[in-house]
Amino acid sequence: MSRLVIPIGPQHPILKEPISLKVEVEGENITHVDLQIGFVHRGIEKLVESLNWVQAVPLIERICGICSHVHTTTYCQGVEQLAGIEVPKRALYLRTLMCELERIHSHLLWLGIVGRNIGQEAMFMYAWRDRELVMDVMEAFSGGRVSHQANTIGGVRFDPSPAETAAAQKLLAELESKVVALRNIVEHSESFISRTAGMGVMNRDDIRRYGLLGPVARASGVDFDLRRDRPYSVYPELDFKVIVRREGDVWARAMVRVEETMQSIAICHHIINKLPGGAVSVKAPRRVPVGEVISRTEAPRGEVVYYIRSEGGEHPARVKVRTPTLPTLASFPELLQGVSIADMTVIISGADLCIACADR
Amino acid sequence: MIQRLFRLAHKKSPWILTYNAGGCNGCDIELLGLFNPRYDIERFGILQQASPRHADILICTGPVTIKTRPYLERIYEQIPSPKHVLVVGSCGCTGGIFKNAYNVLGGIDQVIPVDLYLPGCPCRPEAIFNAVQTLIDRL
Amino acid sequence: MLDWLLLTLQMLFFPGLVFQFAGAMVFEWIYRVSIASLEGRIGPPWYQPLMDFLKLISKEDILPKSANRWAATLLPVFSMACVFTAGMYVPFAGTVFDSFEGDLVMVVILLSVPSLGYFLNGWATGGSYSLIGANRSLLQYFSYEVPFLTAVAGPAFMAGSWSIIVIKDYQSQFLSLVFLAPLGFLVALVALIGKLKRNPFDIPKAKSEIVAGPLTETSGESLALWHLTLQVQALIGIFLLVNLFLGKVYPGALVNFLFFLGKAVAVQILLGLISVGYARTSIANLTDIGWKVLVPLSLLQFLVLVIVKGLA
Ligand code: SF4
Repeated sequence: MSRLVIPIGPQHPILKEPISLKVEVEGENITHVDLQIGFVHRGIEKLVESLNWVQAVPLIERICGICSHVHTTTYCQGVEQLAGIEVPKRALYLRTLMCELERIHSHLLWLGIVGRNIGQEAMFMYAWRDRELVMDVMEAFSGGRVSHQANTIGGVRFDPSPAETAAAQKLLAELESKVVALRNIVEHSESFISRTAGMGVMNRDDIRRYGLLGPVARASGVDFDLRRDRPYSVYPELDFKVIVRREGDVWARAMVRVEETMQSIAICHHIINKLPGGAVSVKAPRRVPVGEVISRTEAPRGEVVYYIRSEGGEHPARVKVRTPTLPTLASFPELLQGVSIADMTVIISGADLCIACADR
Repeated sequence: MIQRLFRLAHKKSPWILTYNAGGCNGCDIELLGLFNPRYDIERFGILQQASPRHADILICTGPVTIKTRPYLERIYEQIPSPKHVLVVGSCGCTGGIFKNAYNVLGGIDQVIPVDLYLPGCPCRPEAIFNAVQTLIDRL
Repeated sequence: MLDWLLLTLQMLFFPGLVFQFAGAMVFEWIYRVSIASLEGRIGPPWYQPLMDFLKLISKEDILPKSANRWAATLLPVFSMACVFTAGMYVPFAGTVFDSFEGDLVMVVILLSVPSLGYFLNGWATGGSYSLIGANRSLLQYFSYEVPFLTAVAGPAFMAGSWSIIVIKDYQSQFLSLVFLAPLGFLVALVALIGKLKRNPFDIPKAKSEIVAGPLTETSGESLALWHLTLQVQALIGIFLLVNLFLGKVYPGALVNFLFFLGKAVAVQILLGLISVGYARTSIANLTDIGWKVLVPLSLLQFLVLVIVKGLA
């Protein structure tokens, strides 16, 4: 059969954001993949240097819309460490609460997108309908559905009353029952399994070779979660399970994500029950002493690393961001070799790309 | 009479195409959220299309980066007229928070003509829906 | 003279253009609303398919330079003409424009012409998505057409005639054939989904894979005609199934009419149900389903019918 080059992207229904994959196919099978990224590169790392420490927070939040809170958390955490700020306990708890809410939102979003891409529109509808509940919780807390503006250097910018947390708990309980239903679909639905099982299999060596992170790695049997293994913030005080699976295919990734969502809901309940009183922020100094720091957190898609350097001024001297999507993208040319077009969409969406994070 | 009917049809069946020209995907996920059962925008005949040739309204988010510029132009050309452009998000209107970044050209209107701007960072689904309605009413 | 007038009227109104057009619109709406309500949504208003059609008609029709303009314009017209002609010969609630021995074969063939046109459209308009979609639609065509034919042959065999109206009348003496040939009905239904390129067999136009398949580069009027063709095809296909498998006639014209309509709507909703419940199959799976499941099933059904008829 003749060779065809099909351009996937930058505008293509499986991609929420622009990347470009020039896919060479022979009949239905892919023989070569040419990957291009950088469509949403805006130069945020450079722009941050022209702002002062606090001004940088809203900009960093807009590195990515889905995991916005994790980015600011990582940044603030680093700067606080650099400046030696003692953050109140309550602030840390609230920050972590937001992180977990965001994980729920991100995983449900992903589930919907996968459902849509395998042609099961109903899955998209159900997952996104349930996701609205967690959006409500986030909105009630911080006032924003997607960007929360919740973090600031030295604490958080929201202070929920007991009535608000109680309302949130009610919504979360409702959400839990819905996520259980979704998990049943993922776990038992014949047609979902037939489209995802055995697709894009990666073993532990592949994971290590490409440096993949987060749920993708955990679905291939890599038992690593920053929240447990390099605990930051208040995670040492919370107990939760790290979900690991051995299959390494898209179905395992889906299972890991759904189970993680359940865990996150449990963590949220836990945090709200344990929430200490006190202030939610302390005043941060204008200048940050000379030094450099590396700050790491576990985002919904894997580990986010910030390298922050200060030269003692009002501006950061360098902020370097490393996000988990880039290694995932790097693995595509090999992973997509020889698969059919139909499976390609499953594999691409199964990786849960966040191009805005990767390009910045 | 027939003209009136056609105009009515244009109002009642706007098919949209979304393109992220380089924003954070905050606005995009709110845009997609319009299709979920809570907002259910199909009630008003609005469908998301995959091919530019089938679309009536191009909804753009994000500022234009240097790399996406030619693609944005091409997509705009591929949409059969009458076509309309709605910009969602502050950064698509003017460049917003990314205004001074080195790889950003500015708002969408630097590249293609825009019919309606919707500021907000990110815009709420209700606001986006309202903007689409406003755009339709102007037809 | 009067004959000619009557003929023209029939062609234009009932069961011709207007009737089929309106029916297709209504049924498309039922399909969309049933899907929406299963997904927990409200769904589009009743005039939505009509508005979509009118809007597309009034839009600019652009084609890439590499496309064959003649073919791209004529193919949808030709396909549409075929399904409309097929519609003339499928009885609606017992009334039919004309019938002759063998009209079932003709209807089946006419209904499969659009699939061929669909395939050609992909090649005529060019573009890589269209080409892949075209190849897929041809592959799909081969996997559902044979089971469809075998399934449809069952009722014809029972009634001993290839005329739809005779088959339908045959059933009114006994029970509807669906009780005797449930497998055949199921096979025909699944094959019909394949014919209509609806989820879960929307492989040739899989949105998340190849954008819109052969129709990716089609816009404006041609697109409107293609949508209309598929919608009318759905209507006629459903009417055909109802006639062949659920053909019991009830006394009283109005009662019969309502029952016929009810059955057709039920089939349409069933299609919606299937589409919500299943994810898209891949093309390799489809050929498997077609040749390893549907064909044996329909042959088995045929065998059962042969035995039953032999006994009776
Ligand atoms: S307006 Fe704000 S939320 Fe929307 S894409 Fe731009 S930066 Fe993101």
